Amino acid sequence: MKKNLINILSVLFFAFWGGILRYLCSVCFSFNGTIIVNLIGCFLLSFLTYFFITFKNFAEWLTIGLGTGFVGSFTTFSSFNLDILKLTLLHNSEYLFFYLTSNIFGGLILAFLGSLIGSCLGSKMIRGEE
Amino acid sequence: MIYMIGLGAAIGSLLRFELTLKIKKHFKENWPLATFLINLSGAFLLGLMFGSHLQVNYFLFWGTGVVGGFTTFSTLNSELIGLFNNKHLYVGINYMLFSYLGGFGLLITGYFLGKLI
Repeated sequence: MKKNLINILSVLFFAFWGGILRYLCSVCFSFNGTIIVNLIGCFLLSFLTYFFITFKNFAEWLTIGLGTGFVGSFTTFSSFNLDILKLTLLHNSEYLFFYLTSNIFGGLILAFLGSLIGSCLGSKMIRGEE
Repeated sequence: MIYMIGLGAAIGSLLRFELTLKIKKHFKENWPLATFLINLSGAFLLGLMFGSHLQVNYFLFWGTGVVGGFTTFSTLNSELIGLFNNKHLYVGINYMLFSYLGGFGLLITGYFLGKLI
């Protein structure tokens, strides 16, 4: 019960800042802001997930807070879809194509890179400890 | 206002966290059902809010904050990498297709419904 409460507070705290940062990016960079947060977030979440799978020396509340809380709140699937609608209504098909490919394929590539680097670094740190 | 967005995102993320735990307890297939349902319902809700011309401050709290924090793009992609890494190619491609097509389809549905309200 107590462990659950700590996880909940951690998610709330980290998600608060993730959401604010996402909003600031969208204010500063408009549609590009969503691309930026989604790509950085894809890399970070995969990196953290695979790093914490191999290197287990971190408290659960911290991994949940950073991954589910901060990065989960930082990236957004709903605004991504809303941006597609807005760009369609604006008839900006050239940018829409760029927007779609960079989010969909860029997100996948960066998530892949994050998983590679994360597990690599995790196993290196384990070997360093032994 | 910016702190209201943060508060909304915190609430949305907690909802996502709790729902994911609950769904994963009962559904043990390869298909990432929790994130799938969260993203699709969130896309619908955001379309609904956008279409119904919510007052700006309400949209920032409920849309950008709560629904933005509820849905997640990073988990979708890290789950895709997990599926592809474990050779669940078929599930991965379907999950990707249905998330993107379903998400946009539901957002448009919500948008037109919102305009009717």
